[in-house]
Amino acid sequence: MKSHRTNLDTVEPDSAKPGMQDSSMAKRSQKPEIRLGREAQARIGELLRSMYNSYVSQGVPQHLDDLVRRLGEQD
Amino acid sequence: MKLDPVIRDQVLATVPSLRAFAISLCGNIDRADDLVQETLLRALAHIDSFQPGTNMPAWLFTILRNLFRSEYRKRRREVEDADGRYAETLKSQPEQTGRVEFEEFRGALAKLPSDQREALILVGASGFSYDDAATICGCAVGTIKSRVNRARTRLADLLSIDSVDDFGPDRATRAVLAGGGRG
Repeated sequence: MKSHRTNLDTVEPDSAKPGMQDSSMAKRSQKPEIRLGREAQARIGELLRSMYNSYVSQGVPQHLDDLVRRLGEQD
Repeated sequence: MKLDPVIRDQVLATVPSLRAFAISLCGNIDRADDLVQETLLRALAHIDSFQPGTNMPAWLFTILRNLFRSEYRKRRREVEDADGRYAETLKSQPEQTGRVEFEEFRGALAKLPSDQREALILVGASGFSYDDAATICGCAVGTIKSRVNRARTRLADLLSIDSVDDFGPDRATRAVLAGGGRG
């Protein structure tokens, strides 16, 4: 599991794939999705990771770690 | 049979991120901790179903995600605790982001439909691939991509983050826009 890089910044919607101009693609394109600019994407990714990492850095309540260790000891 | 120490350590190593995922989903520390506890109990009760050498985080996140969805269906509401118990229990604020901006982001995230929120967090913060996220959520990769895209768009709208700088579904249009507006 990646801890620093994520896949979020490399998203390209399926509509960007070459060769997908057939009727099924046309059906899927009936509601074209707006894509954000790169800066907006990057900013959202930064905010998201900042929030998430702040939770990770809080640590884990002792009772949760104890739970795993205790259950792991049982026969 | 006692838990293999290697497996136990893998579980322990995943708990911080698992908890962060739970907090991001629930918007509430207490609910998140309950959810993580329930997840761990279930996982350890069914540890024999985990294949050693496979993706332990994905396995645990799948359990947690399914428990969350099941609980959500029962409750029929999202917890959007914007006050008190949520904010005051946060012991650290992100260094790069001001407090107001952090709270705004958290509030906007809570407004997303849960399927979009979970997809965005899995791919954008928890570090899973689109394939793994699709497995965790029990849907197609294309569905995950669509949810992530819609989540980001909605967040940008809620947070007034500018902007949409290209439209159109086809590469030719994008190429024209890119060539005309850049440099």
